[in-house]
Amino acid sequence: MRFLFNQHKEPIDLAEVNPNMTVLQWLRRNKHTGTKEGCAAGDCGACTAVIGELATIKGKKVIEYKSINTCISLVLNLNGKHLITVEGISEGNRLHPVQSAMVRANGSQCGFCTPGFVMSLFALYHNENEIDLDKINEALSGNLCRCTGYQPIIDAAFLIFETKDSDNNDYFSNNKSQLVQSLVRINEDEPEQFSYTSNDKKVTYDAPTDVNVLAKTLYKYQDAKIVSGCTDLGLEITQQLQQFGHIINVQNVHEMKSIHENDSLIEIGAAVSYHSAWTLLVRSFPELEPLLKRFASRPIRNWATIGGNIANASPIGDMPPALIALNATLKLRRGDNVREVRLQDFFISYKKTVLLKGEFIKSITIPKLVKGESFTVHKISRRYEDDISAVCMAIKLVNDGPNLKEAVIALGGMAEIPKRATMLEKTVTKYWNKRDIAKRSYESLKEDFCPLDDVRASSEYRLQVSANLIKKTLLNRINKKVPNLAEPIEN
Amino acid sequence: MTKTDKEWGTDSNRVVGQAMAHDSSILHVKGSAPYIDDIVEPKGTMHVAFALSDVAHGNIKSIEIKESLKMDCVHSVLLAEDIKNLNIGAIRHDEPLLAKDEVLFHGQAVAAVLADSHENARKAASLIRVNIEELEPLITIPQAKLKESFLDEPIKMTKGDAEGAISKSVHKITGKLSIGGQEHYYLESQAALAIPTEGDELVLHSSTQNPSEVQHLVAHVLDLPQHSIEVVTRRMGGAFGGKECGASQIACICAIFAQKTKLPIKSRLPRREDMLMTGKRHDFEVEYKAGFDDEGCIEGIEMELYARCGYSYDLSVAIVSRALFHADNAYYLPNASLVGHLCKTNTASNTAFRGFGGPQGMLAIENIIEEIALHLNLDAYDVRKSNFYQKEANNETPYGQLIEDNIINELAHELATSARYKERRLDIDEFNKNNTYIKKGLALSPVKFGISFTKKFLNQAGALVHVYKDGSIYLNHGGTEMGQGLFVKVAQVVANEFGVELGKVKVSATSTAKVPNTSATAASSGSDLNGMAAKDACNRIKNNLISFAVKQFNIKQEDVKFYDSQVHLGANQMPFDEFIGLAYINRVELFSNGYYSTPKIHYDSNKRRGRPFYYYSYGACISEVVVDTLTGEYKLTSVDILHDVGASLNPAIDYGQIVGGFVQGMGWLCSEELVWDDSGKLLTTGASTYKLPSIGDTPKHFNVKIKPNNSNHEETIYKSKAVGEPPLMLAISVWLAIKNAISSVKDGKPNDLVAPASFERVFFCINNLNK
Repeated sequence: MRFLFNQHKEPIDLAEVNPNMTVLQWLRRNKHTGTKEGCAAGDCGACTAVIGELATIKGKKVIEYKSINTCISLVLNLNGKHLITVEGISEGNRLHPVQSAMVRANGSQCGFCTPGFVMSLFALYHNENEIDLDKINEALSGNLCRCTGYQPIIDAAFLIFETKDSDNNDYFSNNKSQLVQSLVRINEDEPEQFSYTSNDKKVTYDAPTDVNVLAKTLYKYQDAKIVSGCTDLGLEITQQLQQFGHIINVQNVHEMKSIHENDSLIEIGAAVSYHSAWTLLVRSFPELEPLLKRFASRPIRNWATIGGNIANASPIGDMPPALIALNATLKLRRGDNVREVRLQDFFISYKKTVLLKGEFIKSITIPKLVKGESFTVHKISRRYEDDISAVCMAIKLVNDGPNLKEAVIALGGMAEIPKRATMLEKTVTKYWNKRDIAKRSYESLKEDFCPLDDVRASSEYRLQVSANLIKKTLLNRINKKVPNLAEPIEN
Repeated sequence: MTKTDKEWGTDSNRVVGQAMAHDSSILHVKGSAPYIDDIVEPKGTMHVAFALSDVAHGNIKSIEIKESLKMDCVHSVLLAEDIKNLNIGAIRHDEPLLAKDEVLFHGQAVAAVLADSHENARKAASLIRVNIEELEPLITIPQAKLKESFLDEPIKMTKGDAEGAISKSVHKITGKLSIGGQEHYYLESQAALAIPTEGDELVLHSSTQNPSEVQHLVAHVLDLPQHSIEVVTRRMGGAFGGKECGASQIACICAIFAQKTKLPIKSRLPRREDMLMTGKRHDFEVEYKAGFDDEGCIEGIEMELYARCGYSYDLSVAIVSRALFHADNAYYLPNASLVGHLCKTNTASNTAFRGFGGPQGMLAIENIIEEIALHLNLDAYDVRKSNFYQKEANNETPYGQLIEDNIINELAHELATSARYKERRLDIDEFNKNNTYIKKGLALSPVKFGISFTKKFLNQAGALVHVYKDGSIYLNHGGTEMGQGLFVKVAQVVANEFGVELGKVKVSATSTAKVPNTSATAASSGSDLNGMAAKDACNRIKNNLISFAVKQFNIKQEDVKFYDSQVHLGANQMPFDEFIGLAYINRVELFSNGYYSTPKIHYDSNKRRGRPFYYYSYGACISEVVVDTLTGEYKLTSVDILHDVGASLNPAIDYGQIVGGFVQGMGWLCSEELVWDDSGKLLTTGASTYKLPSIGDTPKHFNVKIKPNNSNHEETIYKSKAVGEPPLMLAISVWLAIKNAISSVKDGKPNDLVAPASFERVFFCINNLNK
């Protein structure tokens, strides 16, 4: 198990490490205390570091820099990657450009969130050549600051790019080719298994690259925990204090990382991250972009996978309602058997799915919209960025000429699983374009759902706002534009 | 964009008044500024975690610790019965370090576990079972009112005859407003590291705004004289009032274990535990009655403010008092009856939070002004202008202080003109006429905030300044650094006094061993008090140096001047360093303490009359929002601020306080909502459910200006003004703008918006109007 660390010439070689250990724990135990713990739940970003990962663009090997919440990432998932923390970006007294911009713009006050912001800005700096407010907000959506009100940090971000061409003179820009070579070298013979024994308890960690090996291993060890981005499993370790005996990381399974597209569908491997799938998803379904922007935060999107999001079976999940409305199907594999299940049939009850022991999601297939079909997604939450939905509603309308033929509507946050609203669909189909559509929708929603009162919203708000979202969809269809306020608006 | 010195409007050669970076900014961006949990642990350090009550009220039947003790990594478990002096507290000792016999809120610590690592201590704590016989809890303000559960007698402030005036008024309104609390969510949770030194002595590193109080409480708990305990605080990862009292419990528990084991003991609270165990900003319910004339001029006002204090006193009396002190905000109230009630509930003990009750009092009156405007169909800014305090007459507060430094009229006017308030109001009216579903709202709100601790004795501070032989200067004072930039400001004062570059001055960790009996760094007073104390210390050293120079060079006192890193000696000059070296050889004392106590203030808390505040800070803010009436969602699109900091010590730091304070206030009034269930369990225990503003909530148009060419008319440090708390209340304009937009749904009908204005609340408020 090897990874590059900051500006160390030699890779770190970890022989003895508990597979349940998070990157943040490893860093802080080894006196790299620049990276902070603010929440240990991937919500505040004080622990943000950056992972450099090999990617191939136009046949050329390059390094992609991705921010990561180290508090909920496993240290073994660093295998073959470059871990970069706030202590590792300056050279002696010479600050990295993002650091000097933060100083110049007075971007720090108490300083506790600062290392996280610096690292999110570092990723932005090394991935982008031009910048606008939207990109800054997107890159920093996973970092909370309680002191500055963010404006000085936004100022710093602009400042970085003002000077980017002239002083592109930092360790990572200057050593690009060596870093690529080092990463290639440590990826040469990827170890696929790792075991660790502590207090007579053996912990096994598998990181297969072949889907057949994965299928076999999981079939044999049916209680093993599958992990990829670790953005949810990590919480079980840091919040519920769980320790897993057998972890199978699917992040390196080639077949689950691939994306196929043809005229009628896209098929996305279950281990593809939201960030990687973004471009393709948005090209086919532009209406998904506002939702993707609000799906958790940038560091979560960098690592969270679509398969993990679905298998997790959260009642909300954000993407499942959209995928249900689009009639997505899953390929499930158990041993040598592969079966297909419609996503709408996948969820059974709270956190329960049709997945059998030893079975895993291999890929998700989404049919493209055809002529006459249109698609809309709405998300209601307390805060626009990085928040769990109170309601997430996805609507696919099928028109026959000017007339509405069918409505497929799925909601998250309304029941113990994301699901279709069958009564609502009928009502919408029948009474579309009627003045009292909201009122009728409300009555149907009450038949479809009996939502909870919880910290995010009351039951009544969930019902009424969902009804109004139907009306809002209609208004937008008939060109009485009611903008989505989560999106940038012109004054 | 970042501002150059020119844009800050500072071009003098003085170090004071310059936009200097935070003293730790380079360490911050390199991740090398250590917080408590980053300090290299002494060998053998052990870690503490807490087991908490999972009910809000009940009798403890038993505490099962066996499972926890079975773990090899566990050293011991501490229970209330093991602690001799169990109770601590800021004003009264009414808070047990660990619950004894009864639990009084959900999240109260019942046991503390000592183990070999943070993780193991947490695991062991999770194995402790507390059997509690549940009793009925009092959670909400209405419940406390119904059961008459109060900590103390109501606090009453009266002026004239409010009831009589209201009955004679042509127009009257009555109403209620509920105002939510706020979690501090300092990014660094509560933390302490206790290191035994020799004998019974301890050095404690504590993330506290109040090192002296931690020292005194630890000494009390350990039954030691205060001189046995040294508390050191280099920096906090945010505090906002939450570490004024909130840091004591964890420090005391670490100290107890350290004394018992003679080992270094550390503890830091996991976020969930921090949110459960520690108090928050007080939530309030306000009942009001107001009488006013056709112009909206208030003739009489009655306000009853009910504050949820939680299970113990903490600082609630002072906080509710400050709410009353600010229930006038910037408005002259000829007849007022203001009453504050201290509701005692089974919730964590609410505590100091930036503004300290002021924001709640201010929101109460601003809501009334807005309601008056809606009632009379007037523009709310016009109503505000009609009620503003004046300079010569109509300038006495309900507590009898004459306002001598009023600038609110011209400040608001300057802002309204530069931000085109009137024109935008017309545009918005037009927009709202033409749009059914999307509505816009606009509001201008003023801030007048009283500066000084309202407890007179707290208004004192000390400093210690050393000048070393090489001319470098070491600065220590009683204030703590929580991110607000106090250290750099005071260092600027010292550099300025000696006429040297800022880099010559080293700021050092706050320590109870260097300056004793300090007040909390709170009430926005940090630079006012400590800046003056440091200046005094510099002056004493300078006096020594001047006397020496007069003798040595045979010149007059007034010929000795310190600037440009030189000591000017009549027609000659000498580099500062060289001069200091010379002074040393000639046996001149090169170090001194300094002391300051705020003049002019006095307050009779029985009569509720006096001059509690040395001066006032002013500001005003215009906010514009757009609301989606179908969903209740809204967005803050534009903010213009003009704020008074007197003659700024450091415009970059002050700007940061204004912007940051505003956004924090916006969080309080918009997305941040604390939720308890009916049994009193706090449900919002993490950032996934408790939503602080995130980066996209920062308004796109965010124009913040420090009022130029302005100086404090009192003799404060370089004529500057305090800036820590006042800007938070500028955000009231956001809430008012939302309220304004909601009313436009129904031709300006009053509405019952409460705080925080969550999307859901806005939605139902609109629904109620449409009914």
